[in-house]
Amino acid sequence: MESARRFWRALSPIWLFHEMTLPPRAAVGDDLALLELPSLSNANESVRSYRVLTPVLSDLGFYPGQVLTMRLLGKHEAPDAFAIVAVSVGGRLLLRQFVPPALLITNSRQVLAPNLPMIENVVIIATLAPTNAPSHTSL
Amino acid sequence: METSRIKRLRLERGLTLADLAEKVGLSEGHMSRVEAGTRGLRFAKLDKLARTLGVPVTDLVAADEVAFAPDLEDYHPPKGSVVAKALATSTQRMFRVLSGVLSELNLGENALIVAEMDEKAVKSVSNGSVVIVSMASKESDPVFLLRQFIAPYLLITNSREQNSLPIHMLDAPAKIAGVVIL
Repeated sequence: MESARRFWRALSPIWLFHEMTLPPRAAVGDDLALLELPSLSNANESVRSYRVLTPVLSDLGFYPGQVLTMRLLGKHEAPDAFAIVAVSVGGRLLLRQFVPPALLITNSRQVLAPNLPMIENVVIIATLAPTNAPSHTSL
Repeated sequence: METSRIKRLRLERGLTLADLAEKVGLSEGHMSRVEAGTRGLRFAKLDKLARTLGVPVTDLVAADEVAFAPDLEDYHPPKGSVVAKALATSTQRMFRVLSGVLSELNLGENALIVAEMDEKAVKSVSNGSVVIVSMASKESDPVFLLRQFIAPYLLITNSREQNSLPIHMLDAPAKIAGVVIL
């Protein structure tokens, strides 16, 4: 009975999340913390999990504490228009919305940061499918 | 900048003028003038001030006190022309662009644009659309701004040279007055 309970507990995503997640890696000013999932690190090299640390995209429904699974972008791959992206800027890991052709923005009533143009040291690392971004709104 | 708010926030946090000036990297005299509203701040310092006080930048900037220069002026096509006749019988309006706030979208200075000003079009504006924004002002008539609408509430510039702080429609006296169609 106990072994069966252990077996089912081991398969629980919540248990996996709590037991197998190493402390997130983040620095001051980061919007995201990279989560290292040892059991999954070799399973899919094109996917990374991040914990949201700030409400920079709260108007799109992303809040601190949420875990986002993002797909790493290829070297010359551009994200979809208005996609949610993880961005590296001078050692900081930011969460932004991509606006073509080359702009990164926050989308939050709480944090209204200046737009970030994609200059040399700004690199989009990963992207989330834009399924959470509403395409229309009623004014 | 809403000066009384900066002072109130500073006092709430138990900071002296000198403390705040040091943390932001300004002289005490400069900080005092900023609080009194007789001197402005570069954006980097404004950002640092907001971080020091632990509030968003928007808490220090009252949107209705920011002076916006118009990005657009009305354009009247030659009388009797096909365009003039078409505009006369529609809810569309023509403008000349005065700034480069959407230069990354190939809408540079002096570009001529046509906007649909119909309420129905405004209500069904889609994400990423270029829009005409009517921004109310305390001291003058509303000014027309050119912005890109990002759902659900943002109005942004899309330009490297004229990169302005986004306008959040719930915090600013801004409303979409038209949708650019040409």
